[in-house]
Amino acid sequence: MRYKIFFILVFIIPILGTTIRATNANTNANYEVVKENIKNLQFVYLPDERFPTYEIVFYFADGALSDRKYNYGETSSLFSLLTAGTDKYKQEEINDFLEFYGVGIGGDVTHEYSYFSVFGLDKDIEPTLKMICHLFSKSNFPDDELKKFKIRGKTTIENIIASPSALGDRIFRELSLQDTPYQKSADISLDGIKNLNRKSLNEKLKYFNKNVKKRVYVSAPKVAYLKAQKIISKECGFDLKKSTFIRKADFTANSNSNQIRKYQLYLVPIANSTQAQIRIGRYIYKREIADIDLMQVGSEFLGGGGFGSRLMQELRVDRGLTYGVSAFASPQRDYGRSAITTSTKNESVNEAIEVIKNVLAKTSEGQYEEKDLKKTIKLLAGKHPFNFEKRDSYLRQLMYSDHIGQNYKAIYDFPNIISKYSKQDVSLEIKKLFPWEQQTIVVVGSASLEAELKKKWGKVTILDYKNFL
Amino acid sequence: MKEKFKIMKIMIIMRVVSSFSMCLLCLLFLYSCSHMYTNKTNKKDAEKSSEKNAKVNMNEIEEIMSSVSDANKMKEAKADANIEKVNLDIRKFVLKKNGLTILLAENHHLPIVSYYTYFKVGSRYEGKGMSGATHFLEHLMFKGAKKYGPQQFDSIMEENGGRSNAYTSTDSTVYHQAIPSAALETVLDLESDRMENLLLEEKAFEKEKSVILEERKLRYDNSPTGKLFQKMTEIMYKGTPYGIPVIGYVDDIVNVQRDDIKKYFNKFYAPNNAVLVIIGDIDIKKTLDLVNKYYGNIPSSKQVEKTKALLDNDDLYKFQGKSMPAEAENIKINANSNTPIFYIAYRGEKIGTKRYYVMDILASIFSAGASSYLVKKYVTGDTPTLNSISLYNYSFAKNGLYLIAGELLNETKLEDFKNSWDKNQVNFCKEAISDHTVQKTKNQYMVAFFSALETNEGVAELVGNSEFYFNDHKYYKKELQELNSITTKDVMDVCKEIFSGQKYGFFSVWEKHPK
Repeated sequence: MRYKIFFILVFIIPILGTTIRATNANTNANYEVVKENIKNLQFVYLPDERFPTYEIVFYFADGALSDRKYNYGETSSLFSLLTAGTDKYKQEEINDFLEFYGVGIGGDVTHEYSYFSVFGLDKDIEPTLKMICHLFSKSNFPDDELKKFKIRGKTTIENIIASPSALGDRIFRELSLQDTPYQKSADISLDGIKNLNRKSLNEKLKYFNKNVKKRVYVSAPKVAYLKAQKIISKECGFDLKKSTFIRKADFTANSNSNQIRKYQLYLVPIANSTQAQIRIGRYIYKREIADIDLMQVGSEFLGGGGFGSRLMQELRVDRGLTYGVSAFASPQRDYGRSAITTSTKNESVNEAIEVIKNVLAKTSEGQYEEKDLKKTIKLLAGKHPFNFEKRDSYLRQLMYSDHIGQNYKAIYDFPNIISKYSKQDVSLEIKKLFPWEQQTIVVVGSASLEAELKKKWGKVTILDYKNFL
Repeated sequence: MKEKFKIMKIMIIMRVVSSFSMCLLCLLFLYSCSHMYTNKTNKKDAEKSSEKNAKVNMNEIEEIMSSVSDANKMKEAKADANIEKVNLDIRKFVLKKNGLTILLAENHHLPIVSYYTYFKVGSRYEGKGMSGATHFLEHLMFKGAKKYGPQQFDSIMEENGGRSNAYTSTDSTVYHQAIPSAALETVLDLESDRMENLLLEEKAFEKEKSVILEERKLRYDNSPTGKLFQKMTEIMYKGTPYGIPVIGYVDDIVNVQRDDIKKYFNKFYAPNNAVLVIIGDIDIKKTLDLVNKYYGNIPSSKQVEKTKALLDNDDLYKFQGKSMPAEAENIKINANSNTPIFYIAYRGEKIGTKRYYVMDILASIFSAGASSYLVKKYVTGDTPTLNSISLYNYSFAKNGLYLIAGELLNETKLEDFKNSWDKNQVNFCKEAISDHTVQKTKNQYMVAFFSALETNEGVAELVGNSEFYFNDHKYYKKELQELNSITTKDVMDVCKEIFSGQKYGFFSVWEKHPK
């Protein structure tokens, strides 16, 4: 009987499935990505015979946008609590089982989609993946484990003040994305913890299993991949016929907040702070996301990882104002956000903001040397093959491409695509993404900064960090 | 940028950094133990390698022949349960003229290269009034040299599609690049230029002080966990070079002079005090030619051996006093932390002893994963008292600490937790250690090992650390034997030594502690 099933899986199903092949020529990675439908579930397979291990990423086409008001963080909690218990096993038994095999699990929940990843030794794929499938189908979120999870979550959130940078990020997100569906972090909040309950988690798991569209990304030796196909399509409890829902946010069309955002400056006072966290950025509407590669070049030129970025050059190299500064403009399918992140001593906050403002103005107007832009483009092209070095990173790129509806070819062609951008293209993109008059500026630091900020920048709104927990 | 202190990672990356080199060695051990993968030398491969050596060897370069027996091709690796096919083909050479050690391996999977330069100098060599000098010098290495002047290093690196960074620890300073393979010669040129002829330009020198002071605020002065860590190491390592913070004291950073740094550079930055590791899409023969071309004429340092002979004296690093200093019993720091965060610090072990390896396995049993002993007991058990807990085998070349880091739950009182620790620790070993938990640790290491091998960087760090700590890039094989001999009883015995009577330091940070 077992042999028969194996025969069907190996020889029949691939014939029935749709197979799409994309080859990674630009990176010289010798990979051939295979896409195939097995019983209504799409598998994306990245063959790799080098190591006796497997990497699997389960993609779900819904995320934190499925959380109701006052239940923010529910989806994120759902995935965190998958190992909390089932009708058959206690949390302790599940963890011990998976960790005994050395299995690692992880994942993330964004507003638009979620993923859950698993890796382990291919020789152990049967028992370990069967346990993962058991968790998807039978997790029941026991009350005692849920109670402990909530206590831990509350402590973590209330103590975020111990990490000034994380606090700055959290507050900035809420203020810069205010009045959008993306305002609240996908992670759980204090309100979310209060309302988290077993019933709603069970309902949500059922919803994810039965309704939400899924895709499975696998990198492993072929034999392990075939085993994974068989186990996942049979034992994970997914209703593959009905699982068609794809989250789409129609915020732009329906919201009254679809207005140009105004410049705002906020100060969030923290007692005894000797260094201020500065965040500058804004919400990016779907209509503004025209070219994701150009967005990446623009933000990298402004504040990418290297010392050659405009902000790093001006703030750190030329003035010694900060240890680090970065910028990003990050697109999802239906929205995006931009941010500039830095920190500096209290005495330098105004100067740092002023420098950032000037850099934005100069780069928007093309007041920089073209060779500097070319350097950024070469840096991005040089970094590109590294994206394919680790299999989990490679799989997540494929997943993101599928999520936004981009052909895989665009991933591999990235160096060619960006080599064609002109100085004018990039300047206009920066102007579009970082217009000063639309920026939300958040300073998390000493209360004593209020007077100086007001004097220099006009209106400053003072907020209590506790409102953002 | 430019620094990756081990300490800051503690609260974030768990035990990866505290025993990174060790961790990978453990992994190798595990996969050796599993008998899934056998490490036998293929005769034909060995012959081919010898042939290749004959062509590669130049008068100026000595190949360390022991490495040839390792000859396997990463590029041909197959996941067919044979260790030989996934083993590392690392070749070791030494430039005879100046003593530079070179580790090379080919991996043509992608057109990329990881390039590491280990300098055998860390903050423990600094001396009075010079705290932070090693780290400061690390920053200044990006500020221009004779051939490639100010602001050129990063600029040229980026123009060639490469990224560069560095980190300083108490024992070493490491510079690393991730580059397209086409940029290899450019990086050799840049790296050899700054090894030989660093500019230390006055203007950049003063500006970089401001940057480091900002970095200090970010990591320590404005960070509750950073403050706590600094205080803990100062007291636990009091009177030893390991008690001085790697980033340095503010006064020393402000007052250090260019000439002091110049002398420090001249003393320690030399090919005979460095290890070069290049892993990736390279041709070994061509790469060796290039290394010889760019590094061959850099003079060795005559002072370094003499200076290090004095500063490496084991006595300098011994803990002071037979037992824990009284002041370490309950240190309280006031800072912005809503709930208490703590360190429990035991005296540990230097890297490389048998006890050290046992302690590493013990640390995993105690805190690696949700099913580990301390996590179950204090975080996820029936009556949790902590939000998180981790145990680190936090060891250096000359000494080490065994650290428990944790954060209390809101409702828990610090004194209650400490009392419970005192009361319960005598039971830890018998409750935690079994054949099952030892085997589980081995299995976890094996998976992590394969994960590390996926990248050139992972391989470079594995062999680079082996070479750095033991002057032998293949030292892990000796460690395998050591680890192989460790039994459940060994783990139990060391556990009892630590948790059945040894005094510990207790350090906490909380907003309600007295100012």
